[in-house]
Amino acid sequence: MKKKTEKQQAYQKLVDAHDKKRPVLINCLKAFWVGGVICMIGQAVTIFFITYFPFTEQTAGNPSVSVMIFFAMLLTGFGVYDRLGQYAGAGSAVPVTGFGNAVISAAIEHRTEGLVLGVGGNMFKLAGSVIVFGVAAAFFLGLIKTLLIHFGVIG
Amino acid sequence: MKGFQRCLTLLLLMLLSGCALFQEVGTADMVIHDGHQDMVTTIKDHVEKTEELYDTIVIAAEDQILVSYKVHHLNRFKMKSIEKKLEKWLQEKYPDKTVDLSSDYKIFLESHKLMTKWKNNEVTKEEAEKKLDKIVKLKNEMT
Amino acid sequence: MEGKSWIFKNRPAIVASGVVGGPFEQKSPYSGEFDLVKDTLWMEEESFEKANRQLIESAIQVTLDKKTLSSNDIDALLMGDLINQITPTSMAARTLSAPYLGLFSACATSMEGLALSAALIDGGYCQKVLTGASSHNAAVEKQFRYPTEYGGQKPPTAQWTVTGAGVALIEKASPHNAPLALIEKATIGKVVDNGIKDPFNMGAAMAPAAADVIERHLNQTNQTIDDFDLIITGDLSRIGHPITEDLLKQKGIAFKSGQFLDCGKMFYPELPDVQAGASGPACSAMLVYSHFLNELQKGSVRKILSVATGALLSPLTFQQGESIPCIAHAVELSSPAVNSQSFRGEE
Repeated sequence: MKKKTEKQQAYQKLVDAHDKKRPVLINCLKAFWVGGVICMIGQAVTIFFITYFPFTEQTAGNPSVSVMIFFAMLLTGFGVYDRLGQYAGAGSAVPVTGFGNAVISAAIEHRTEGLVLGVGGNMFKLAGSVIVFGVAAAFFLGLIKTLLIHFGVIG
Repeated sequence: MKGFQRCLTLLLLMLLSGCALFQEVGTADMVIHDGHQDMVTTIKDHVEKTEELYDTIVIAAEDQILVSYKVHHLNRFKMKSIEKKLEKWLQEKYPDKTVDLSSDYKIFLESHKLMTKWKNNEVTKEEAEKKLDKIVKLKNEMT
Repeated sequence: MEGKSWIFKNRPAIVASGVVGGPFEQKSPYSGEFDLVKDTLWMEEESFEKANRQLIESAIQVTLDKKTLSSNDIDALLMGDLINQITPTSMAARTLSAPYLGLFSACATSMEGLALSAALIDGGYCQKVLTGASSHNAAVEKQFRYPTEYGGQKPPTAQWTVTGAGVALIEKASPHNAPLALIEKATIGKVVDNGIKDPFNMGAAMAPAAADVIERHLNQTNQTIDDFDLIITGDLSRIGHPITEDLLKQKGIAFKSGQFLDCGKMFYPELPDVQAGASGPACSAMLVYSHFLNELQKGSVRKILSVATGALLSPLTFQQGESIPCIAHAVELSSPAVNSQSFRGEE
């Protein structure tokens, strides 16, 4: 990064004096309770699957995630999720519904450019990097774990 | 508003219907073939003594034993080591039997259902064995 | 003195204007002064970009209707917007089929167009010039930020892009065309960049450009701040506007209270969705061509300096880590009601 000139630094000071900072603590609290509620709904869905369908705790995760993404899709389509996002921040972005929202909002947005080039080409505009780095991180962590088990560091 | 109420009722129903999950139902056992009673009681007593666990159900068929239990919430982080410990104990004690251990809610739920039916004489021996097989298969299923 | 301001001697004037807003703009306290308000963001078009084009077309039509003109009467159309290579404007110009100059100064397009139009009239090259600017919230979000329905959290420094268009018809002032405002002088801005990189804090990025052009306009035209009733900036909003005020104070230019206004702050006062305030080329175009023109026409305001500020960034440049270059153009407008005496004398 280029170093800032003195004039720019002086200006940055002036900007900082007028800047409105994000209210971090309040945002954290909002994120905590909204994220918690989303996860509670997810847990309810999981229990629903465990109770009424032949899924164990291990296997109920997949259908639950699909259902949560479906909910996110409905909320995104009805224009509710972006408002929730503005209020909750990370609370609505971190659970899997946030991932669903990133994919679905991009798909809706680029519908006007056609199905193939618009929806298909832009659907993962936001979520694509999550997938790429998620897969890469999983690969390297898996590699480290395998090595550690191999050398007997962990059991 | 009506839709909201309906949703709420459905949610409540959903939560309540899973009550065997949230209620303590007490430790129990079920012996399909006679002659295993001693073994089942020993296992039950041992598991009972393990502090982290509660609500144990032991089901024994001819050469298959299924032990399902619930783990106290705060001990769920140690779930794996508890399972290992129990498994080791069981293998040393009964090396010639297949014993399946599970802390899974679903396995517990199904075991509980089977046991209730068995106690009410609603299932025959064959049906009970078949059901037990199914539960064990479900337990070993991954993803 | 570095550079010169443009001083128009032949009295170019705004003789008619057309302002069209979107659905959210109905919540503005000035919406009563808009000519037309659309009910949906889509405006029954297939895409937001086409809706943006429709905004421009409606605003032009409203303006022409006020003077019962047709497109053949227009000598030049000077307009711009924010979307890819200003296609909405170009396509609206295709509909109008008048000689067309596309402009881009981001949110400073409105005053760039007004200054250039005044110059064309003043130089005698044109008789009737249409100028204006437009923006469409959803189309701009789509291009510069995230999809509209994406649930990202915007910081309190972010601004809300106005949906709408403002168009003005410029002619030489005469007793026959009942001018709304006279265009006296203009100062063209320089690109100023103080190293701000945050695209969610445009106000802070643009503030130095506004301060620079205001200071230069006063110096180059030998005026002081007391000569103006109002100085109106485009879309500095709640962060940038006080910064500009501070910058000017450092240079010894102090405003009276209520003299220094900002369209971005005025547009939607205290609506929670808009964070720091309004932005977009339409922001200054809409308020200057409706509310402030009405005030000038009535004579309740004698003389104003309208400064539109623009952040000249693209989605590419901020991703590549470039800072945001900014520009501001100033146009001095005066009330024909106050100046009518001298203006009759000239006839």
